[in-house]
Amino acid sequence: MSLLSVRGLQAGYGKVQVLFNGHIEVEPGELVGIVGPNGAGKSTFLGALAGSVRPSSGSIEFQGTSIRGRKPEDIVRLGLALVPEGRAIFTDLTVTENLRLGLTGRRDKSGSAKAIAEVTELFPVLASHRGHQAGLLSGGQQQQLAIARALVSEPKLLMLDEPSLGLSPTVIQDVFGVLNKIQELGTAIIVVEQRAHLIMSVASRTLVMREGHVRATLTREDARDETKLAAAYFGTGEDRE
Amino acid sequence: MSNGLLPSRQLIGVTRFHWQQLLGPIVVVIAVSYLTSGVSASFSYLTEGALALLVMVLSLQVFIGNSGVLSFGQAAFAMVGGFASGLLTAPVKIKENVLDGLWEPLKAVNMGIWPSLVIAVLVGALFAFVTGLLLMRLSGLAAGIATFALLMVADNVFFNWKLIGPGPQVMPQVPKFAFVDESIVLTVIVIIVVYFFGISRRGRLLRATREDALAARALGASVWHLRVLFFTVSGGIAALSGAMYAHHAGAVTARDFYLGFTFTTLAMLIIGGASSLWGAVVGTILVTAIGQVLLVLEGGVTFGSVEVTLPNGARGLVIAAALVVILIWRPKGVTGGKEFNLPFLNRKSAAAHDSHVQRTDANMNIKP
Repeated sequence: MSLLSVRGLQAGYGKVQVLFNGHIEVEPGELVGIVGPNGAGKSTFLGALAGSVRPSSGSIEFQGTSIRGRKPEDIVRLGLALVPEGRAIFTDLTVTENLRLGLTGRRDKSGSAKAIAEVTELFPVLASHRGHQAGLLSGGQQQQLAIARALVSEPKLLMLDEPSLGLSPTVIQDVFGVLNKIQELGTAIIVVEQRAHLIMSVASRTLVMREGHVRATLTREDARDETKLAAAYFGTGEDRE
Repeated sequence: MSNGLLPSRQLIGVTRFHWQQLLGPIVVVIAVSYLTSGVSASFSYLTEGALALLVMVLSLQVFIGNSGVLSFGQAAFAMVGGFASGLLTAPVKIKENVLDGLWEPLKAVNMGIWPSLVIAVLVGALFAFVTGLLLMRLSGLAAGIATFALLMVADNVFFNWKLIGPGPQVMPQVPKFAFVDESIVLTVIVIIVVYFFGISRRGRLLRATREDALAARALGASVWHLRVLFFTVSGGIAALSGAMYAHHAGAVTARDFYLGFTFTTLAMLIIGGASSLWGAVVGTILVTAIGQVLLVLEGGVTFGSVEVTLPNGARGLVIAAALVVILIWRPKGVTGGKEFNLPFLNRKSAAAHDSHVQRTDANMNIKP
């Protein structure tokens, strides 16, 4: 059984429909990418999964139960955590205090200290800055903090919205390096990215979105074939799924 | 301290326990109260009234300051508290003679001030909880209008329904506090409660919902639950303020807690700085002081050969003007939304903190 199974998802803002056909299957521990040009509906798709955007139709099944229309705070408790675009860490709080806010989404409150310890082990740079104000961290460190804060709730599926935004290439490598480590711990990940090559090199499958539709699913082998990506990305040639 | 270059999601207000942030306002409140109440009997009376107002401003601060939702309705809970404590303590004979429409069990009951204060707080909190369940589903302008409607509903009910109070009359013979000390003790208790709610995990989460609701919800924070909780706490404290006011004035009417009361306390909060407890204290002291000076001037003062007399109503105009000036030039209030802080008292603890951080860096053997 898939961890997450989404079919025919539609969503938008008021009368403006942005997402026309969102579908995705994620197996436990899998890393799936979503790429596509600006305005393709990638963030709306993630928002609909996380509950911050209300879907108008379609189905979302997480671990066999429907979560469509549930509130974001309930969805986190079921084990589906979102790291929103632009990191959204609280700059006036220290690193540890930010991590503690992440504990809110835990179902069982026992083992909270252990969860923080494990997560900081994954991000050594956070351990060394734990008493520092989060606003004084570099962009890459803040992104790691945002990911760590979501991990503290011990999600089964972690969703990242453009983690590379505003980061330099070397820092992006650090952040993406951590993704594989998280995956090794058994957490499935969905990453929305503008940088297609970057995500296709680490993801087992990558969905290509365009104009509110998932137009193609590319494997890691497809990533080496420039023409396939370009065709899916820009809509030239046949859509393939 | 925050880095201006980064996208800022500041959580203004207290986030962790600092003894001076709690003790500072307490010491200032106690000192100012004893200084002013020592001047004369009328100053003592004034101080007691100001402390009741301060408790109201603290009630506004714990909800508005932490949630960022503006409420014009908290005076309704002060009304509930003032009526509850007034009715529970006034002599049975007076109630029988003056308030003939009153519900019989309310006529018969009579208790001391302290138990009646506890009941007033509980009734106010319950009332806030029930109304909050509905009102806290709203935010922004809708919440402001709906809470204002609550105030008007409460005023109409209390002004007209003689079963639960004096209606349009004054409820007389409410026992008064014997000394200013009772008000000081109650205010200090409220300061402690408001402070610890502010720095609690839920207080921090509520401020997180104010700064970035999506990010906070993605972490699992329920905006509605948190707001209802703080609205209830605020309602209980507002009821205490109303009760303190009733036992200060020795009488209570619905109109004591209407527009003038709402405007004055909100002005105090905004002038002082809504996002900090210290702002609530400073705002109350400032507005009360300005008000008293102007009151004296309205009565006419002679400086040497020049007599200065301000027209009646100058007080309200000056406070309104002060509010406008603050909103334009210092929207976070005169305290800037910061808590009480004397840097020289911090030096020791800051040094200890730094050395701790360096030690952890060394232990991890990683370059910061």
